[in-house]
Amino acid sequence: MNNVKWYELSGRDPDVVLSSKALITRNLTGYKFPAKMSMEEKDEVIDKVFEALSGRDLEKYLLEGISESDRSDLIDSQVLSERGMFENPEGKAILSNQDRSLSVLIGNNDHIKIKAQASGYTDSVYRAAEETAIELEKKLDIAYSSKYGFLGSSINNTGLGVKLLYTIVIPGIAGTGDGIKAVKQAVTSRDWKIYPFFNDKNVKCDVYVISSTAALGVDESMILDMGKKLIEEIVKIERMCRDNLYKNRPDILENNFYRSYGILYYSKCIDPLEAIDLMGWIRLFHGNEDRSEIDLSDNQINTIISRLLWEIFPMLLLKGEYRSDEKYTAMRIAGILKRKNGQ
Amino acid sequence: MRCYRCGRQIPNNNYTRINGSYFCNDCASEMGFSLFSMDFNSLDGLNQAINAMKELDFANSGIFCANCGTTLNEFENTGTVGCISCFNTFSNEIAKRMLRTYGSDQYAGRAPGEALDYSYESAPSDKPAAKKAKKQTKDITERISKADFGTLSDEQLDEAMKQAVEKEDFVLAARIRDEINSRKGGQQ
Ligand SMILES: [Zn+2]
Ligand SMILES: [Zn+2]
Repeated sequence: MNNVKWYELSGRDPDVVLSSKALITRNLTGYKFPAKMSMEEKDEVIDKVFEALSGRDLEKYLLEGISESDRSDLIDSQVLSERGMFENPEGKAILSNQDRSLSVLIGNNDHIKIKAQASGYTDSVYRAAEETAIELEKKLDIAYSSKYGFLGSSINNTGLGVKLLYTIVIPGIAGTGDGIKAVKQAVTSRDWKIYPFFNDKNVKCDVYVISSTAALGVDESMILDMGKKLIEEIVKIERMCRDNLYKNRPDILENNFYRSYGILYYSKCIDPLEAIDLMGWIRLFHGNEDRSEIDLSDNQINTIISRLLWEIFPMLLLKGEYRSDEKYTAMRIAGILKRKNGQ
Repeated sequence: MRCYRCGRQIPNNNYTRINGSYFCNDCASEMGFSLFSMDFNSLDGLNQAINAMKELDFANSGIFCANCGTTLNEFENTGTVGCISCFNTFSNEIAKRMLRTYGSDQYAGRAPGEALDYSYESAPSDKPAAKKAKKQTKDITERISKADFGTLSDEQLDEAMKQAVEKEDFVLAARIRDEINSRKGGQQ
C-alpha cells in the first residue's frame, strides 16, 4: 500500500516555498453556527457532510475519542494544527484522503472547512479545495447571499470564504538588512499579510507564512494571481539575497554549512531550537556544497523543517517545554539526512 | 449561560453571581467585584450603581438576534455572529465593518456550484534543480583539474570525460580515461 504523505513529495521552488495551502469555509442553512449549536445539531451536520462526500475515497474521524496514533498522524500531516481542537473535541469530525493533501474539518468555528495542501508553490491547491466545495454546494444547502457571498461565523470567514497560505523559508531576506521589513511592506500593500510561522522570541526560525485576506470586492482569480505574483517576487528576492550573502561571506557560509551538517548528521541528542537554527545555515549554502561529498536535496531539508515545525515543536509545546526529547529529535533528523537519493 | 452585563457566553461556569444575576469574571472585576474578596450579599448599596453603569455602557445590548441570542455588543466586540439571521439583525453594523475591513461590501466571487474559470499553472518545473546541476558539473571539472579523481564516482567521471572532450581538453580526457580503465581493472 502506498502510504506517502503530501509533504514527502517535492514541489516547485522548494528552496524557498515549503508548502501551499488553500482553505475554503462553508456553512449550511438551517443551523446556527457551531458556537451556538446543540450537540444533536452538530451530529446532524457531521452526518450531512459525511453523506454528501460519501462518494469520495475519504477516511472519517470523529475527534472525540480519536486514537493517539490518528491524532498525531493528523497533526504531523498538518491537517489539524490548533491544539484547542482536542480540548473540545465533541461534535467535531475530519474527513481526509490518504496522503492527507485534502481534508474537511466539520464543526469547528464554521460547519465546514476544506483544506488542500501541497509541497512547494502551486495554485492547484485552490482547485482541489474548490472541487470539494462545489460538490458540497451542489449537494447541500450552503449559506449564501448575493450581497455578501458565502456566510460564515465571522467577518473573516464571510465573502469568498477562501484563504490562500504559502509557507516560505527566507533566511536570505531575514539575514539582509531591512529585508523582512521590505517584504512585509510589499505584502501588506497588496492586502496580503505575512507573519512568522513560529511566533516565539525564543525561536530563531526564518519560516514565515503569507496569507490572503481579501473576501469582498474581488474574485478568487484575483487572489490567485496576486499570490502567484507575490511568491514569484519573494522567491526572486530570496535567491538574490542568498547569492549576495554567499558572495560577501562565502567562508562563513561554507564553514557554518559543513559544521551544521556534521552536528545534525552525527548528534545523538539535539535541542530542537538549535536544530532549526542550524537548518538555516544549511539552507543558505545549499547548492554550493561539494555534491560528491554531501548528497542533500531541497526535499530532505524541507522534510526536516516540516518535521521540526509540525511534529516536534507541537509535541514539546504540549509538554510545556522545548528542552526535552533531544534524543528523538536527533534521531528523526539524522534519519532523514541518511536517506539515499534524497527522496 | 450568558453574562448579564456584556451578553457573552460564560465559559465553564466561570461566573460571578451578584444579586441574583450572573456575570462573567471580566465584567465582575471591571465592576469592582473581585472573585475572592467580596461578600456580594453585603453590597446591596451598589446595586443601583451597577444598573446605571449597565445602561450607560451597554446601550447596544438591547439589540440581539432573535434566532440565536447574539447581542449587537457581542458582534461588535468579536466580529463573530451566531447564525445566518444575525446578518439581517445587524445588517448596518456588518456593512460598516465589511467596508472598514475589505474596502468593499459587495461580493464579487463565483456563484455556488460554479467552477472558477482560471488557467492554473502547468505541472511544476523545478528551476533551482536545473541551476544546481550546472553548478555540479562545474565543480567536477574544477576538481579534476586539481587531479583528485579518487573522490569522484564512476558516473561523475563519465560526465567529466564528456565535458573534457567537449572542451577539447584532450590531455585531461586522457587522464580521466586512464582513471576509468584502472578502476575497471581493479574490479576484474
Ligand atoms: Zn461579561
Ligand atoms: Zn443570530
